[in-house]
Amino acid sequence: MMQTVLRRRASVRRLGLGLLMGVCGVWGSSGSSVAHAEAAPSTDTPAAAPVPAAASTPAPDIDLQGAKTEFETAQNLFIREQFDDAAGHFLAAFARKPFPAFLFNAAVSYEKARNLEKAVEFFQKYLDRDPAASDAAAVKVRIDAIKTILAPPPAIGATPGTAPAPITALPAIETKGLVVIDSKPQGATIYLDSKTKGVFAKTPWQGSLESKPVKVILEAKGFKSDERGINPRSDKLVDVYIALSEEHFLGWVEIVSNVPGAEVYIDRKDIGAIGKTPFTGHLKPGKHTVFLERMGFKAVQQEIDVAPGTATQHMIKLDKGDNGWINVAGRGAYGARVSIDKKVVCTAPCRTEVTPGVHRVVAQKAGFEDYDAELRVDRNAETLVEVQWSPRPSKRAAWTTASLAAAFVGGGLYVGYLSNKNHDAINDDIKNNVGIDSNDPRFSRGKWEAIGADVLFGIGALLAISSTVSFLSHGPDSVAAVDQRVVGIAPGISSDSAGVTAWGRF
Amino acid sequence: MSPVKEGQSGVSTRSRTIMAVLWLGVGACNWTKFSDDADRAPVRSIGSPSGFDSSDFGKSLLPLSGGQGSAAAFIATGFNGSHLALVKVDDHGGVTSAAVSTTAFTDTESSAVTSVAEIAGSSPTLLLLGTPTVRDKDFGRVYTYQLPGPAVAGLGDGAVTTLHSKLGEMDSGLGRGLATGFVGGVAGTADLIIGGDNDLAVVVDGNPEMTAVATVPVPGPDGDCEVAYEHLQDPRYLARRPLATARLWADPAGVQQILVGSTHAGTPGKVGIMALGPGGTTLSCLASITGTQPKFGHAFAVGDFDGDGADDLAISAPPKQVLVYLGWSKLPIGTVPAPLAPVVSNTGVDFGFSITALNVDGLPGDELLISDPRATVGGQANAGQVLGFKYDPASATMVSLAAPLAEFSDHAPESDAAFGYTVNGLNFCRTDPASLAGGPCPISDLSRILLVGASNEVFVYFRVGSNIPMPTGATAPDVRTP
Repeated sequence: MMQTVLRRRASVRRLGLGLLMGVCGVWGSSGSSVAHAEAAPSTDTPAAAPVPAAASTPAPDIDLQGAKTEFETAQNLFIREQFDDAAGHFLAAFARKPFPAFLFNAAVSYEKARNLEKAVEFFQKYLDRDPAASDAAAVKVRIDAIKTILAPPPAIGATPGTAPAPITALPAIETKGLVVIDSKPQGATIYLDSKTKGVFAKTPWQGSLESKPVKVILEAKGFKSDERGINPRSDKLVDVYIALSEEHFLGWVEIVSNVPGAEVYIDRKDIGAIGKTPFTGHLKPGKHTVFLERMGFKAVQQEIDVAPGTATQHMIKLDKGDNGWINVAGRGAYGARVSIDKKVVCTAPCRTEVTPGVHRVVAQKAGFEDYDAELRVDRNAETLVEVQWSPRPSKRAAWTTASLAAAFVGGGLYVGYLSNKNHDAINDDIKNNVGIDSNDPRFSRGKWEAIGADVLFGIGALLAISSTVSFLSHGPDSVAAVDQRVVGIAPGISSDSAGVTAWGRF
Repeated sequence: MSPVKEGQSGVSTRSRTIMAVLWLGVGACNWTKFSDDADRAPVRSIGSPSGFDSSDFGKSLLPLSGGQGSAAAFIATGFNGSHLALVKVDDHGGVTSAAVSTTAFTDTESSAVTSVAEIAGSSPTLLLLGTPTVRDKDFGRVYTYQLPGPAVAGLGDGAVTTLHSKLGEMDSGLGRGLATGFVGGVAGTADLIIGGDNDLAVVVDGNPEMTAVATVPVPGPDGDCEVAYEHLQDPRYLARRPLATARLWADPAGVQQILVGSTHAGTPGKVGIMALGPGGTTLSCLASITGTQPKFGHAFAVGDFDGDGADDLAISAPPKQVLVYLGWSKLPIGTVPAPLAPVVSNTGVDFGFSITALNVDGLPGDELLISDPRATVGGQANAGQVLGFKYDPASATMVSLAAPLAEFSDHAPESDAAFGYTVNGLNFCRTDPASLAGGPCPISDLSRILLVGASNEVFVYFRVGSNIPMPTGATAPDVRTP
C-alpha cells in the first residue's frame, strides 16, 4: 500500500473578514475567508464608506483604487459623450493599473470623438498588450476599417480636404467592463458557476465576463474553498478578492484502492459507508480506522493517522475474497431474523458473508413458519434466498383444548378427592368396629367417584395430549426460491481506458 | 349352571398393576381399592344369584350344618316361585352362589318353596322342601332335594323328588311347616316332621311308610296340643308354620321333642310340645303352652341362654314380646318352667318376627337375637333391625346387650328393606375344606356367626363387636382368615 504525504505549512493563520462592495468597497464577514469585491459605480448599488479593515486585514491596493476612480470618471464622461476627456481618464486608469481593457476603452472613446488616428493607436496597443484577447480578431478588423476611413481616396480629381467617410460606417462598439479576481494565496483555482465546468483560471485574473450573474468558486489545496456571486456589467469594474482560510484544524485524506468503487467506512460501520473509492475528504486529526469493502474482495481494515493541516493519500489494496454470501431478501423478508449455523447474523433483508460450504440457514418471522434449510455456498458466489412465508396456524384451538384439559383434570382431582374421602370414612368405620356391610353405598359411590375421576383424568390427559400436539403442530414450512450468483470483479486496463471489470453467472 | 363369585374383586393383581401403571402418570384413583374395602367390611351383603327372584332373597333361609366344601353354606328359597339357591362363603369371606333353574322344579309346578329343612345327618346333604300352595290352590307337596356335594361348584338340577307321605299330596297346606330331628325310630336316623294346615305328620326314619299322623288336637296333661294351623291370619304368618325339634327335657330315650306353634288371628296362640308315641305311629302331647298374644308361638329359639349347658327355649309373640323359658332339663317331662319376664318392645312394629339363639359376646351362654323387620331405622320405614338380649342372672331377666351388640341393622338403611326377616346362626368352619375331605369341621375351628335375611339380600356378620366366640373358649375379632 502506498501512501503519499503532501504537506504545506500555512504562513497566514488568520485573515480579516470583509467584503468590499461597489466602488467604495464594503468589507464584510464571510466565514473564515476574507474577500471583497469592488466595482464601478452603479445605479442600484449605493456608495458606502469603506469599512475599516481589521488589524490583520491587508492594506487596500492604492493603485487599484486610483484606477477604479479614473475608470468611474471615464465612464461618466463617456456617458455624457465627452469622449476625449473620457479617453484621457481611461488612460489615466491604465497608468495606475495596466489592464488592457483600459486601452480598449480609450480607443473606443477616441473613436467616438472621431479621433480615428488615436483610436487606431490604442486599439493596436490593446492588441499588443493582450494579443490573446478573445476579441483580438474583431479589434484587428476594426483597426483595418478605421485605417480605410483614414486613407485618402485613390480617385483623380478628388478635392483635397474632403471630409473623411462617415464614422457611422463602422459597427457599433461599446466600452468593456472589467472583472478582477484575486486571492490569497494567489494561484487558487477559479471555477465559474460549477466545478463540473472545469477550471476557468487561476488567480490573479482580470478580464471581462458576460453581463450576467455568475458564481466565482476558488479552491486551493490546504485551504477551504470559497465562492462568491458577482454581476459583471460593461460599464463596471468588479473587483473580487478572496482570502482563503487554511484547513489547519482538519487533515485532508485521499483514500484510493486498486479496486475503485469499494465502500469506505470511517471508524464505524454501523452508520454506513461514507463514500466509495477514490475518496477524498477532511478528517479530524488523530487515529482513524478505515474499512474498505467490496463484493468479491476481502474486507480490509486499516488504521490511519491524520495530522492537522496535512494532506495524505492512502492506497489500500483489496485482495480477492475466498468467501461467498447468503442474501436473504424477497417480498416479506423485511424484519425476519436470519440465523446461520445457529447464530443470529442479521435482520432481513441482509447479506452475510460466509465461508464456502454447506450452511444451515434459518429465517424466522413472527406469525410465519420458520424457513430452515441447508444451503451450499460456493466461493465468490452469492446465494440469494427469497423466502415464501407460510402463515403459522392460530393457537387458539390449542389454548381452548388446554383449558378444557385443565378443567377435566381439575374435575378429576375434585371427584378423586371425594372418592378418597369415602375411602377414609369407610376405613375409619371398619377400624372402629362399625358394622358396615359390603353393600354400603359408600363403596359403590366411592368406586364410581374413582372411576369418574379416572375418566376425567383420562379425558383431561387426552385433551392435554391434543393440546400439546396443537401447540407443537405447524403449517407448511416456509420455503424459498434459492438462486446462486457467481460474481467476479477485477481491474481492467485497455488502450484508452482503465477501470473495473465485473462478471457474473446467474 | 356357572356359579357367581361375589365378595372378591374380579380384577387380578396383574390387571391392577397394569391399571396402576396406566394411571400413574395422571394420579388416577384406584377404584379397585373399594372392592378391597368391601372385602374387609365386617358384614357381607349378599344378593340373589342369577335365576333367583331377587325380590324375596333372604325371606327363607336355612343355614346348613356343613359348608358344602366351603367355610359356611346356607340355602335360600323364594316366596314368589320355585326358587332355591345355595350360597357358600369361603374362609376369606368370599361368596359364591348358585340357583336351581326353574325348569328343574317340574314337580313343584312353579309353586313357592316356603319351607325348607336340612335332614340331619344326611350325606350328601338332603333337603326337605315344602310347597304348601301348589298351583295357588290349598293343597301342597313335600319334596326332598339332594345337594350336589362339596365337590360340585354349582347346584345341580334334577334332584327334586316328591315325597309321598301318608298325608297325601292333596292335603291343604302340606309342607307349610317342616322340621327334622331325632324324635324316634332308629337312633341316628333323621325323622321328618311335616305340618299341613289341618294336620301334622312325622315320617319316622324318613320312611313314608312309617308315618305318624295327627289330624285332631292331641290331648295333653294341661291342655290339647293343636295340630291345625289357622287360616285367617296375616298372610305373612301363613308362609311358614312354626315347627322345631329340641331336647328340652332329658328324655331317657334320648329323643327330641317336637315343638308345634299355633298362632291365631285373634285368640292367644299356643305351643304344643309333642313326642312320638309308642310304636312310632302316633303323636303324644307332652305339654301345651298358651300365650297371651295371638301370634304366640310364631318362632322358636333353642339355646343355652343361662349358660348351664342345657337348652332353653324362647318363644316369640310378635309384635310386642318374646318369652324365655329356662331350666327345662331340671324339670320332669311335661313340666313347663315359668317364663322370665317378657322381653318387650314398646316401640316394635313386628318385634319377634324372627328369633335365634347365638353367642355374640364371647361369654358363656347364648344371647337372644330378636328381629323386628318392620322397625323404622334411620327414618326409613320398615327398614328393620335385630336387637340383642342376654340373660342377667342377677335380675333373672333378659336384658339388652351393650353396644354394638344391642342393635344390628343395615348401616345404610332403606325403607321396606325388612332387615331381620330371618335371623339365624350360621356355622363357619375355618378349616381348609380340602383337608376335611367331606368330614365334619373340627369343633375348635367351628364358629356360629350371625346370618340375617332381608327382603332381597342376606347379611353375613363375620365380625360382631370385637370378639367372635370360638368353641374352645377363645375369641377372635373376625372369623375370616386374613
